[in-house]
Amino acid sequence: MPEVVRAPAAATLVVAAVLLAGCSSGNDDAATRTVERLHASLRAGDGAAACQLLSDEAQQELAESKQTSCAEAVIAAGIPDTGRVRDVSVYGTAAQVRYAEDVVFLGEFEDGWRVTAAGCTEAVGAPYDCDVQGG
Amino acid sequence: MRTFVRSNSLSLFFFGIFLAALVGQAFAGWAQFNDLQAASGMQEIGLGRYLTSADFAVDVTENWQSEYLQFLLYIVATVFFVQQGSPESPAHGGLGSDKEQKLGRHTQDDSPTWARAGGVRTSIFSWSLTLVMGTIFLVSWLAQSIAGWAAFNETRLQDRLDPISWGSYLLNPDFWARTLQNWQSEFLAVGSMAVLAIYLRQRGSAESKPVGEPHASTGAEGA
Repeated sequence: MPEVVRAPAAATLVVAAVLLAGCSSGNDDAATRTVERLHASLRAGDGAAACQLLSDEAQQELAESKQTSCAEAVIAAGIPDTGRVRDVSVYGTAAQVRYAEDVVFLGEFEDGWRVTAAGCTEAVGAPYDCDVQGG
Repeated sequence: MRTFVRSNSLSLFFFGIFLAALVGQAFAGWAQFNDLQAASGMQEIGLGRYLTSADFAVDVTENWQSEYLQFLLYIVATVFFVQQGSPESPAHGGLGSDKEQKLGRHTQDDSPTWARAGGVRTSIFSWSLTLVMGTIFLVSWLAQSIAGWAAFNETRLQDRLDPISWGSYLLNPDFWARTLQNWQSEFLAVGSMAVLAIYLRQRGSAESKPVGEPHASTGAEGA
């Protein structure tokens, strides 16, 4: 009775495909590298390079809220440079990198991962409140 | 070839419209996904990436699980429950005698091998339709839960919220809203089919009683 055997096998393949679709090992590293490059740019005082690692909306909101250029505003934002990564979560085109004293959110764009929010503090039952945020 | 098509036209028809609908769903879902990405300032994605996304997987599997559950329940419920006058219902209910089921000494030369084998193999084969439909249902539902969890967490991260565990997702309203909205419609469709087929007819359809059959005739005795 081949039909009896084939159908569950096909269904198992579907689950395997779903599980593989949810896998994100390579993306964990890529998202983390973007945050580390952001931290390195800020340490070097290179605001322009730091802004290139932010999403377009984050750059725009940062410049508008501080009423200056993104390059100056991102230095003034005081994003914590807190060293060791505690946890990375990647789901589809969105990621979160957790540090001891900061939580950073990222989105995947055409040119790779870019930071959508950083300098975030937890707000109970509400989105994180972030020094840099947008899109 | 022509004979093959004519002999299998029902399966081919449904497989064909399944593929057409799935392709349509892929394009519509892709456009909808990119609309939402754009609205939240995120990058739009290509069709290939969408087809391997959790968003597409959950939309497909949440419907698959409910359809297989529908037929699973219909197969099992029509063993034990009766609807007087319905061609979908057994006349009396129950598993039937070996004679009715063409088992034991009542098997024919062209009966399936596992029906003639006896013992465990015949027992498994006697429930094979239910076992396979049930397995596909459970696997699809599991796939829905995993894909739905990933898609839900993607949205949460875009909204600057922490992701949740798979266990938490199984208790989340998103999982149950996706599940139950499909189940209710399947149960309604099957239940109404069982009742409407008492009084209404479709000439030539195996799902209907013959047009002149009395309303009171139940199941195979009316066909």
